[in-house]
Amino acid sequence: MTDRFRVTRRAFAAGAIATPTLFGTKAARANEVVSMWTFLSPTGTTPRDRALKLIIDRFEAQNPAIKIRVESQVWSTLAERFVMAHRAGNAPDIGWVNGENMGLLVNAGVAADLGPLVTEKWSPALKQDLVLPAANEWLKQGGRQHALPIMALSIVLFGRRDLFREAGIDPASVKTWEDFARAAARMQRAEGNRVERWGTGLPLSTDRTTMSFAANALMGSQGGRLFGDRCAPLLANEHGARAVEMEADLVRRHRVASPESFAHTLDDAIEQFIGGRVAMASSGNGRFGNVVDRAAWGATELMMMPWPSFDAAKPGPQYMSGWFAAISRNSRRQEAAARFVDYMCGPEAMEYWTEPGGLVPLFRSVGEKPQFREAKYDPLRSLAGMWAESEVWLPADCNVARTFTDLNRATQRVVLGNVPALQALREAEAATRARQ
Amino acid sequence: MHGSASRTAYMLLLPALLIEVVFVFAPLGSSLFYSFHRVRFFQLQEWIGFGNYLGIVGDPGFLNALLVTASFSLITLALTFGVGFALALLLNRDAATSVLMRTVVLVPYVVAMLVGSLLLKWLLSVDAGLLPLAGAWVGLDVPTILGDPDYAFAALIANGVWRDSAFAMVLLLAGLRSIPPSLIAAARMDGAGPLRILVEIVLPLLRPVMVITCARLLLHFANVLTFPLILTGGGPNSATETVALRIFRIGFEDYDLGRANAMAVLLTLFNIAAVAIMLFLFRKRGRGAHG
Repeated sequence: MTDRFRVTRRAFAAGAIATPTLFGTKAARANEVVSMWTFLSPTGTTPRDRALKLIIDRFEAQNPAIKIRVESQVWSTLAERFVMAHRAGNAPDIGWVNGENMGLLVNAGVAADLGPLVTEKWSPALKQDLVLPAANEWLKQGGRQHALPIMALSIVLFGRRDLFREAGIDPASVKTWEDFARAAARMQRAEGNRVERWGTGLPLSTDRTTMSFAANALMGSQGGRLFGDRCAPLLANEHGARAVEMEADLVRRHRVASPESFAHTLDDAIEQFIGGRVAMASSGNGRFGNVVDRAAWGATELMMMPWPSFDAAKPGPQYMSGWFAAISRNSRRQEAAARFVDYMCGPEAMEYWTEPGGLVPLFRSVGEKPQFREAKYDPLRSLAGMWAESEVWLPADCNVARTFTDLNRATQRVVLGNVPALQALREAEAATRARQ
Repeated sequence: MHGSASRTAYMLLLPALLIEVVFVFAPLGSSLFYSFHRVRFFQLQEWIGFGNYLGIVGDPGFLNALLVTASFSLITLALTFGVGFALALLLNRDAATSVLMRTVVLVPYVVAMLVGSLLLKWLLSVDAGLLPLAGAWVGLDVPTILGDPDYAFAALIANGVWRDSAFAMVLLLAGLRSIPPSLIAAARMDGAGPLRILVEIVLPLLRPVMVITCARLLLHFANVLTFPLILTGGGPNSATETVALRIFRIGFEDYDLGRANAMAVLLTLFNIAAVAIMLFLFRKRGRGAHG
């Protein structure tokens, strides 16, 4: 036997042994592939993308038999796609749903009950560790746990310390909507006829889920409510009229918001804020890191302010939303999917959501870890404090997705159509009622 | 026709018929079916007869959208056709500059509708757009276009004209090219001026192409979603909310597919009626011209 033949034979034998071993290992390592639809991408570079990648890598290392396959989707239609895919029989195992679309998820009844799959297995200590237990309760409708919170977000008011300093105003003194309008007027800057910097950004478009100030003011006046029993909207009343008039006055009387606000979405408003074109703006707190990264006027000047209210005794509400994980009722891998959801929404993953993700930890034990006591996490701590003081969850079984835009339309009708506020609100109320 | 020949004819027609059935009649049928049902949260619930239609008739938002759609379609059609026809006449030459200009004019049409509308939005924004900057250089105070109902409606029309004039030009240019040059030359020899040639020769011969161009544009404008969705969002104060946008919102944001389909059925009838009226008018004028 020649050497050459011997080597070939050895190589063949080694290959024959190695091949089934390799295939066997691969099969053992990923014998269940769990699909997940999210707006994030593990190959992306944003803080939350990086956090998701770390979470998946860590989970797969701990659970070699489960592989997570992420299919990135457009965030704004994620919930609808999940429900429609379920109807068509090709839903992913896990779908992310935003808070505004929870009514769709609950009413469509497409989610598996995460109670027996996840939360009923939680220890009492873990349940006590939750920062927002209301969030978990909120997702429990009709005795079923429809989803679990991955990240909590609220619409916050962003301001700039440097502009407040220049204007000689203490941000803490802005307690009422009148204070807010005065502060905005003092921070506004014009050159000739052209306004270089508006006092505030005001997202008033009818693009869906564009929540503006009137919605916050109305919730503040009604103890955090926009809906009554059986999802009856509570808009056309004296509180609603005062809220809409206040918002309209920011454009027409105080002139601290651009007339183009009627075309602005939340994204437009925050982009203008980043660009220094408005002194204050509202947006989801998830944009905090984005503003810090991109604002040329200095990240250290950025602050999240408490919302004003009408009576100054209590700040305006923090309207809570966020992203939630649901498992399809049709999933054939519910146990494996539940294991990942449990991990993704649990304390270990929460560390990644906080660093590098930049999100408020939803477990006390995570927030108390030494690494999260640094000054750079102060904004997250202050936000968590605001949540504790004034968190508001709109009913998850109501179709709330476009109620904010109904209110925006009401403000448009008041300013551009000269319609009385109460009449505009009756139209808004009818529109909201029709979609329940 | 012999049996085998007619069988061959039917066989040749079959692919086109199948495509029509799958992509036109089946969706139309399912749309009609859903329009008679309550379909909430993407779930078929119950038969409600004409309930969705009755709801639409009493909905002031739908009536406003219908008015916006009709006025947007007709004004944009007239302007687009006019600009397209002018461009076709202007560029109906074989000079190198004409070929270059035709390419330049076609650019807006080959840009995706979504991209084009976004570009226009960034251009027109008084707070962050280029137009106010350009206005400032020449001492002009640019008004708030996207925040004013009338200007926003005008911007929507401008979006349509800017993008689709090139489409009209291509069709009309093809029509102009099909007119025998000998006819024009003979008319010139008989002493006819450019206006007379246009009215007496070009327009009558171009009528079939004009009908097709107008019909295609009208259907496009009556059903377009991208322009209002991206450029104006239907606002402000519902000034640019077209029927297509309302259908999209009711179906995919309010999750009421029953009512959205009922609106879609009505929009289809509106399309058919509009094209029928247009064909009738063209035919009447054609008969008048020959009679």
